[in-house]
Amino acid sequence: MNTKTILGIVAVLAVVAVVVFVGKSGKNLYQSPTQPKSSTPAGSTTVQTTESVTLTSSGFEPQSLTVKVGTKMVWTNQSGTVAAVNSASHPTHLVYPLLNLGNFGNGETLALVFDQPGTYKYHNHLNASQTGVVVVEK
Amino acid sequence: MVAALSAIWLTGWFHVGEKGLLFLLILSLVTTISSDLLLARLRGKPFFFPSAAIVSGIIIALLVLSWYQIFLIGLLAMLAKNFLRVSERHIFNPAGFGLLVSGIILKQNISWWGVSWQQSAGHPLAFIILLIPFLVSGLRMRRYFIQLAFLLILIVFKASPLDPTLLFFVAVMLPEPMTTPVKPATQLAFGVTVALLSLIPYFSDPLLFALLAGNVLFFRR
Repeated sequence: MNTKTILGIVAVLAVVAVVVFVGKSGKNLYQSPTQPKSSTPAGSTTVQTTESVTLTSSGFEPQSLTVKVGTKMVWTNQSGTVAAVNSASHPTHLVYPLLNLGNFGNGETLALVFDQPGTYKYHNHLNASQTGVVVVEK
Repeated sequence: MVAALSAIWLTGWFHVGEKGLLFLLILSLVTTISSDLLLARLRGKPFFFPSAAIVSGIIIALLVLSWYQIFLIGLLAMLAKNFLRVSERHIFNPAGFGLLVSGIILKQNISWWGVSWQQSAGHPLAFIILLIPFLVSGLRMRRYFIQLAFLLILIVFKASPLDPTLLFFVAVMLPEPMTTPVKPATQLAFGVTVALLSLIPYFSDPLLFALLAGNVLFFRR
């Protein structure tokens, strides 16, 4: 593979990456095309309802949840060990940074209000085979 | 590399405190070593010390928590190492291939359990041990251009360069010597390509997808 070919591949990939992450004009893969800042932490916007997700040793329950805009999601850790809630994709967590809620100990909770429609995938960073998704509808 | 990976596994074992993890490590090693020796024999190769299979076995045991997944990954990894070859060189990172393909077959994500908990603030000693493979892959194997390029791109895109999983991937899986370029310029291109591909969030395990795609794009007979 010569240098021009390599540079060509890198250039094409760079364009793809820019379109996906910066341009916001590509196909929606995981999340709402709206700016991440539009979803805000719990307590800073009008909360309509509250939904709960429990993390046990076998994973998030329910694993998939469909809620309305403005819903406050509360994750409770009952896994018996320290866990985490982080946005897809593992381990960069760049898809929806506001969902990078971090570690929480057994018995503790984390919360986030979703005020924009979209599909939000997350996982336990300390055991990335445990995944979940929140679908937020208008 | 075997010693460095063993140290990482031991810290993970002490951290989690589950005796069952030892069984999973043994299962992983038995699967990779026996299948590598058997498959190589089928190819007519004489007996050899299976150091690559041992490395793959420990990597798999560090990343996966279910026994049947470990068995399948180990088998797929050694199948890729022995049969997905062109001109006597295997195309894919064996462990990466097994991890990605098994995830697709079983529809189950990789846990990365043994390399995700060493945040530098809470576990400084474990974090330092996690960095030891850089001495082998970066300095001894001279793949540091790949590693630097990969990390720089991810830093540009605001990923945390201190994430334990990311560091393990960069230190151990990304620079596998048989499937990565040697020349500095090509190493840089490889690192940039894999980093950019890993940012595409379509796949559940984008690091593994990006690595294998990079193996194909930069494969040299």
